[in-house]
Amino acid sequence: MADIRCPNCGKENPDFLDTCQFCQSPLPPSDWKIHIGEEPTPKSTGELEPILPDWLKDIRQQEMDKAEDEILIPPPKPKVQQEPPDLLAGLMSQSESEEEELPDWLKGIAPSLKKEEAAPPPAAQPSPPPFFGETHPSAEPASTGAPAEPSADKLAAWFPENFNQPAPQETDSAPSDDDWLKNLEAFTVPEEPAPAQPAAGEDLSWLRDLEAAAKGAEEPTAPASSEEDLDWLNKLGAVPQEPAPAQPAAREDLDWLKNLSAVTEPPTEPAPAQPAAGEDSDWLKNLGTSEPAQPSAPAFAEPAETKEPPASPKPFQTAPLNELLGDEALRDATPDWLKAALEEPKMPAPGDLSDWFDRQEPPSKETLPTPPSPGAPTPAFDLPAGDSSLPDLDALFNVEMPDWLTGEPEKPVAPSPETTSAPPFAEEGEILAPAELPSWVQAMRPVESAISSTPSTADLVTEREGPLAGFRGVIPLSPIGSSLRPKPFSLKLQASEEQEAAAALLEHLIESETAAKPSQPATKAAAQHALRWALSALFLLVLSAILWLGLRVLYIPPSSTLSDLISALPDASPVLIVIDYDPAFAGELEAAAGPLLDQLALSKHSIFEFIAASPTASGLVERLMRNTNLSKPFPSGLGYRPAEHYFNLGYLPGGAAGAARFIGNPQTFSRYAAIALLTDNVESSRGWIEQLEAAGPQISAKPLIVVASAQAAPMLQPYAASGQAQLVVNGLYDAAKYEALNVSRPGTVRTYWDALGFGLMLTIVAIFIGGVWNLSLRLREQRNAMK
Amino acid sequence: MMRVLTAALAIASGIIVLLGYFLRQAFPLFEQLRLLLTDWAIVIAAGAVLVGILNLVTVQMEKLRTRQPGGLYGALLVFALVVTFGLGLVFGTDHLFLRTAMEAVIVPVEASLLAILTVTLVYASIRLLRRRSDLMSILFLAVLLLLLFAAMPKPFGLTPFLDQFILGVMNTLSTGGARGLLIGVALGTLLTALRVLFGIDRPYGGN
Amino acid sequence: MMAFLILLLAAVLLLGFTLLRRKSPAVFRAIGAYERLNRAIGLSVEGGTRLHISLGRGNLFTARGGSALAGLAMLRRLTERASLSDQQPIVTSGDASLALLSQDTLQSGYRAAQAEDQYRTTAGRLTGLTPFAFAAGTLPVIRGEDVSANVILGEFGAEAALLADAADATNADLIAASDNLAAQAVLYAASQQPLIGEELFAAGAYLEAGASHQASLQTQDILRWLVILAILGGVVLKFLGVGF
Repeated sequence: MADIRCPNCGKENPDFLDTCQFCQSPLPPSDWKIHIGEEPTPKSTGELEPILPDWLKDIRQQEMDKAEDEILIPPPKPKVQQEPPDLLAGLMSQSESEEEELPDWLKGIAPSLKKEEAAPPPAAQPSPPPFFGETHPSAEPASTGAPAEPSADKLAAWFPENFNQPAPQETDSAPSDDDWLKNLEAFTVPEEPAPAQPAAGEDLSWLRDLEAAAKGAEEPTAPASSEEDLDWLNKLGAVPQEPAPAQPAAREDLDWLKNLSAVTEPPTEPAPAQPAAGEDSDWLKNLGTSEPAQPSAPAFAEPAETKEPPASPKPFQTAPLNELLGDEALRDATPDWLKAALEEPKMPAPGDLSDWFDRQEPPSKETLPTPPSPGAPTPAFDLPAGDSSLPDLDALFNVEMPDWLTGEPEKPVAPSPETTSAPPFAEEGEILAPAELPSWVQAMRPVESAISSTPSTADLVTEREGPLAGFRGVIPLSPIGSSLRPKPFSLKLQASEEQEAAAALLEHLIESETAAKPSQPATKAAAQHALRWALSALFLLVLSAILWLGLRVLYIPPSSTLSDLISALPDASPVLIVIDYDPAFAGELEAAAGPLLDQLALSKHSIFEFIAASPTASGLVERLMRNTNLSKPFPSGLGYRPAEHYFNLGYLPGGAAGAARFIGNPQTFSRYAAIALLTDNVESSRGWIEQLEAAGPQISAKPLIVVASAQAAPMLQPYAASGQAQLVVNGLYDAAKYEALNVSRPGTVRTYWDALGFGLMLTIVAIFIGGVWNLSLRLREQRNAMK
Repeated sequence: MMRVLTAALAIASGIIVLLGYFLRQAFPLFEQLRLLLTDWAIVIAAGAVLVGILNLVTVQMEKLRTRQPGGLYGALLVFALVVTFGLGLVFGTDHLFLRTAMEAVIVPVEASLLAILTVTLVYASIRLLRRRSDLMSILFLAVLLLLLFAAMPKPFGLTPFLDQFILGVMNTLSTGGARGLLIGVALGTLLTALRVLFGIDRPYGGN
Repeated sequence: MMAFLILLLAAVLLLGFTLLRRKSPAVFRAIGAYERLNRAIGLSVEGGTRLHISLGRGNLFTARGGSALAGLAMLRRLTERASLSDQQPIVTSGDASLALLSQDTLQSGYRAAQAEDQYRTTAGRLTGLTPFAFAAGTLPVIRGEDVSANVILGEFGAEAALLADAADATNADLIAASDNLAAQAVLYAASQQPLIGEELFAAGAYLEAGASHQASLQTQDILRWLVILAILGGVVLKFLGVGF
């Protein structure tokens, strides 16, 4: 164990201390390289998030999901919820449910155990068994129930500890071992882990203690963790006298280890050397019920300044499994594998672990920890002399033991790392080079492994005064404030600025998704609607009043252009009238075409042939004839009759192509004296004009009069200027001039003229006022925005 | 295979029509082919109107079936369509009912829409400077007001000098600008048609 | 003959630039409306809203068919992009032939995006055969089909103002272009960023529809300069008294 020199007093301190044990000054952190068996240094893991392996991410996700579910069920714990999530924050809620998450094998025998969970564990009894010797006096979590002990702390403490142990403590890694070991690495590790034992390793150490007790020899613990080992451990219960070590043997047992990491309330005292999981402590509770608790030297003592000679170890006694199975309820709950194990007369063949142990060479003296004196061994379990269960224990260990248990009595398999630096699995003459761990593993390993070795019983202090006089190791020797005291580890997310910015952005996006969109101000929409209604009402009222009153105050300048053109046409000749406007423009174009048709009918008695360039136009012919007073009888009209004075040829499909086909037939088209195009569509008008021009000089020489809507006329004026069209009548403006010269016949334009004038005036005023108003508003908004 | 066939037909038809238009004097056959293809196209277009109306009915019936807003109006539309189409088939387009439908429904409705358009345009002109208060928008509105004022009927006729000047200048400028725009549109149309002719753009599903 | 030569020149330029542009894409000036269009497509896909494309009532038998074809080319590209959206775009037309072609183009776009199963024939709609009937039939689509962006591109008249007003009332994006001068005038007043003149035909190039669309724009520019030179030359010759 390396020491840290206090910068204040200059004295050496154990490296697991945060503060100097002499002057209480903060100690500088040690700067170690990270290798197997060495202590890691704190690292920010936030930057390693992206490179986390998938399985770890899966675990995190699963745990996050579990945590979310569990948060909904039990009452929330403010301490946990108020803190931001850590890298493994999803695991923290596991502690809340670890009592419920018992392994299957334990659930099978749980009916009685569950009842006992509420009762004080054996450690809380006045005379705890020696195994819990270091625990019961001061470990409050143990006194309030085993499940309250955060198992993750123990696991986390055990994990680096086993890394540091130079002696071979683990067998060859089975796949299952790798799995749970990896999962353990994903756990949140407290900064100052307690000297606790993992489930599997602890079980094996317990067995080793059993062996030591049976042999009467003193052996260090040698935890193993292979799956095969656990399998035969399950069958260990087949020995009639042997208490069933309800061990997590199968893979699912290791799974429950994954759930041990969440810690919400780390122990305030040095963690006792008790089973890591509540399951283990449960069966140990059963043991405690079958044997009276005895004060004893702790199996793992805290490092102490004054070292006491180790106490002689005695085999502890556990309740025979067959006795437990004598209970009906328990028998029903006994899993099949355990029942089968009970029928086995012998211990199964040793597994890989035992083989591995057989192959092990005893470590060199230099690398071994100082073994306790054989004459004064530290008892793992100090049993009272008059314990009635001793015969059972003797009977338990009088069975034929496996080779790995019987052949290893002298091998100190758990040397203290204080005295050795050899790798834990060094074979004969083979020293494994410290493996370079991946960065993410380094980052996730315990920050400060306070317990780097198994405490020796020699370190324990025997109380000499007070009610605890005579007890050894009941008061931990670690100074107050030492790193042995589990500290509440921070759950604060260690993220870089970039990650925090990305998280903030994501949060903002999520908020914006859920936040209700601010609707447009109702006043704005209402104002717009009001303006529309106001404009509509204004136009309706003004124009209706003018039409109803029949105002004729606006002047119309007459023009003779149309009359001159019509006078050149032959009498009673057919005139082709192309209807190329939509129903919406019928009112305008009927008024605009009125003077033309009236003069043709009145002065030339022309025969009208209507052809429609749009599907709806053919239905407008009758209306046109009626509204221009041509089809009305005398004296109000000219008495034109269909199929006699005018003909409706129907719809000509195909647009310009159809027009080309229609014009291309010279026999039918050449008989027309003139062509009148009534249109509101520039494009179709252009098509007709171009097709007439392309039809040859005979066709193009015929007079073409275009009566266009005001919206199309400006675009058609160039055709009149170029001579392709003889005349373009620009809506009501030009029609009014021709009508004025035609003695105001038929008079439709005159009716509309004043309404048109006042309507335009109203439009100009509205646009001007509204435009100025909106411009001022816009400028004011821009000014405010600049401010 | 179908895609190649449709593309080949479209390209061949376009080339034949073009040749018939440009080389009709030298190759009358192309002219005859052009007219024939035009006739076919017109018939197909008339058939397309029926298909389009069927599509209109389908859309409205789906609205009704899925209880979308306005589904009842869709049902009314389909009902009117069926009645009008049936009566037109039976009695012809000159029947009194169809003329009445045209003059009592279609023309007033469309004229009303045109009236709404008038108000909408006035409203848009008022709001233009709120939407865009740049120089071009101000110029646009100024020209609009000047033209409206110049063309507006007045109690004493056109103002002798002002109206003539405004109308003359504005007509010249607007006509020149309009021609420039139309030339640009014509060039764009030409290139778009060439893309279709070369089979680069195939809006008939072959692409 | 002159028209045939112009056509031939345009064809040669188009093919040449198409081959050239496949190797080196052209760089165009920024047109705000098309930038807005690209953004509107993205927002539509992200927001799970609908895109409405109106192709107008350009009859393929008239010169207005050019704008209709340009709208179809744009529709093809828009369909591919909007195929990611939860709601498929709706296409409205005022001409029956155009409506059929729009359905075909929609299907082709979905097929190209390997999402042909999303295609529905009712996505391409004929909403009316006259300008105002078309507008009246299109208004419910703008107002009631969860449309977040309206692309009005094709042959329209003054009735385009009704569509623009409806889009403004629903706070939807509006990208509008027409080859009709009256429509351009009303859209200038009614839309945020109007497209003027032949900018309508640039939709394909700005939507990255292919090298041929870029070549079309370059060919248009060359032909435009030729027209300008021809007009100026004619004016000069006329001024000099040379008759032709």
